[in-house]
Amino acid sequence: MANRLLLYELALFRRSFADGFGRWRDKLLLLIVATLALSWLWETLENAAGPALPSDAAWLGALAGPAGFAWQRLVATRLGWLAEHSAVAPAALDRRIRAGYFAAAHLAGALVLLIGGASLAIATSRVGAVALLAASAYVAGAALAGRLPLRARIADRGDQAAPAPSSSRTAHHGRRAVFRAILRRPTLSGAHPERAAILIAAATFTLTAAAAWFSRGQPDAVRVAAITLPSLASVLAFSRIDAELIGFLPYAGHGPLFVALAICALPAGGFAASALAVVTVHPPLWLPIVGILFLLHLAIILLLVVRAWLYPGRGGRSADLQAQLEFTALVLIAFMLPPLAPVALGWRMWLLRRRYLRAMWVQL
Amino acid sequence: MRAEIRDLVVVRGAVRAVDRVSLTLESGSWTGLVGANGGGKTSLLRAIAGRIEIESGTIVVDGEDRTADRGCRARAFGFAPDPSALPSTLTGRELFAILASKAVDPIEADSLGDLRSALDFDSYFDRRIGTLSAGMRQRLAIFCAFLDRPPAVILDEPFNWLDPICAFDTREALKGLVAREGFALVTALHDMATLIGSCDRGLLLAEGRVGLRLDAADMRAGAGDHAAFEARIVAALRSPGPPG
Repeated sequence: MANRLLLYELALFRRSFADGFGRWRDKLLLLIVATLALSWLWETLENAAGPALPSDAAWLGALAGPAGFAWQRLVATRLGWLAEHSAVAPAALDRRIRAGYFAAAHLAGALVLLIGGASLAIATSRVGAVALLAASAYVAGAALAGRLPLRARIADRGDQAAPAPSSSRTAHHGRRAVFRAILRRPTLSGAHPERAAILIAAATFTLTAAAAWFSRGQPDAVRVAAITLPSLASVLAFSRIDAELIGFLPYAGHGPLFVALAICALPAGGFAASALAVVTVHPPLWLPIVGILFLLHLAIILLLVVRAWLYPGRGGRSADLQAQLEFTALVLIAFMLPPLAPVALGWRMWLLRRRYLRAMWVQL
Repeated sequence: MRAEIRDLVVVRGAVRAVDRVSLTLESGSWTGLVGANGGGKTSLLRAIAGRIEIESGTIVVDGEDRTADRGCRARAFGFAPDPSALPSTLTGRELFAILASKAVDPIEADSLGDLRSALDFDSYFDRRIGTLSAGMRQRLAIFCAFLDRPPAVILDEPFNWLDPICAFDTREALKGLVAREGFALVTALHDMATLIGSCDRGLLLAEGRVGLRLDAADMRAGAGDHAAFEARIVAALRSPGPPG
């Protein structure tokens, strides 16, 4: 019997890809970016300064372990959702089909790892050792994740007040209600999202200040990593979005600017907290560190706005996939042709904003 | 098909959503489940259909204890997914092509013909689910539960969002399927008319516990005096009794 789960996921992926890159100019852009990326990779590897197996392999191992862990958790979480809520639940609860699903997912993960490992192996001329190390670390990470229980997610929205309609008299209150609703997902707080956001920002400030203080005697690289780590954690937490809610907002009359500002509020607050902590403690190299924090938050904010403007009329996963691919393309452009990056970004944001505005007048 | 559910307990988060509920489901019968919002109906139905974990209790299907076998229960009980969980980027036809086993062609729906006619989704079968209204999605979700011809089918508030014509036709088609094809049907309901007019038995859930059990005689009495029946149901919902 065909694996219905895989058929289902493949159909969704195929449709997501077609939605994101259905037109010929999208495909052309993708082709150009892929060609540039490959040529950049090839050039980098060719110019690599001879075999450096121990350190390169260590990096690959360090990446492959967490990658296996994260991928296993992601697949298990997805399978849990499919088993409870989806139309393919009987397949998601079938032992053999589940095993096939996990196998296929890890094969895909291993394929990505294989490409990375092969690139490194070509550079170091040590194919076997690199592949073995990467595969071992990946399997170990996945096995560890498989042993840890997943936190149950209860889909209960009973405690969430519906956003008020944005009529002329209640527009302010309506926007405030929508803003609170937007905060609920990233703060994981149904009743008091504002308080949760302030607590997270305070924790970010405290941890960043502590890291800046205690890492003063450390080498530059260690200090930068230690100081940016709390911000990275908070900004990743803040990047969760309720796709269904955001996708509905244009139909309720909320414009792209309001949605973008509401989405950006938390990461912007997180940046303010961490930058303030760095400025307060004033460690060596504080200005470049603030610059790094700024770039980190800016990247996440841009990604969030792209996702938010893609959600209307689209599935969350489909929009996320497109946003990630477009973001990767932008990063590649920024690496290879830096002056072109702001132009490409501005053009794309303008198109996305237009798309969002069109959705404001469409009733599906 | 006969399923015996005994002393079922389901915990959702920190809440005991279903508290020692027992009931029996049989082929050729329609059981109506009534209760307040948040009263445990959905948790009970999902637990029976294997969609969520059971804390304690037993579920025996055709004499076999299937409490620990969620996969078997998911196959035995067709379950209409929440319409909002249907994949918004696929069309109904694409979804059904994935869900239906090889032996079933959803277009030539044979014994399900009446239900298919009642749900009448042909006009938007090739439109993306994300562009459909709530009622249209509900129609597709109901049909999903029957696609593999399971012996028992569970529908959670199937008449929500349906227009009066579709609701009437679907109710009649479901009655026909129970009578002719021998489906064991369980539906969560909020309207007393369907409970009285279509169900063979009823179960009232209040705060996760069985507040009242209704048999065929109760339904007949309800048909005779609708107002008294409704008052009895509301009274039982307002003051849930001890677990039973």
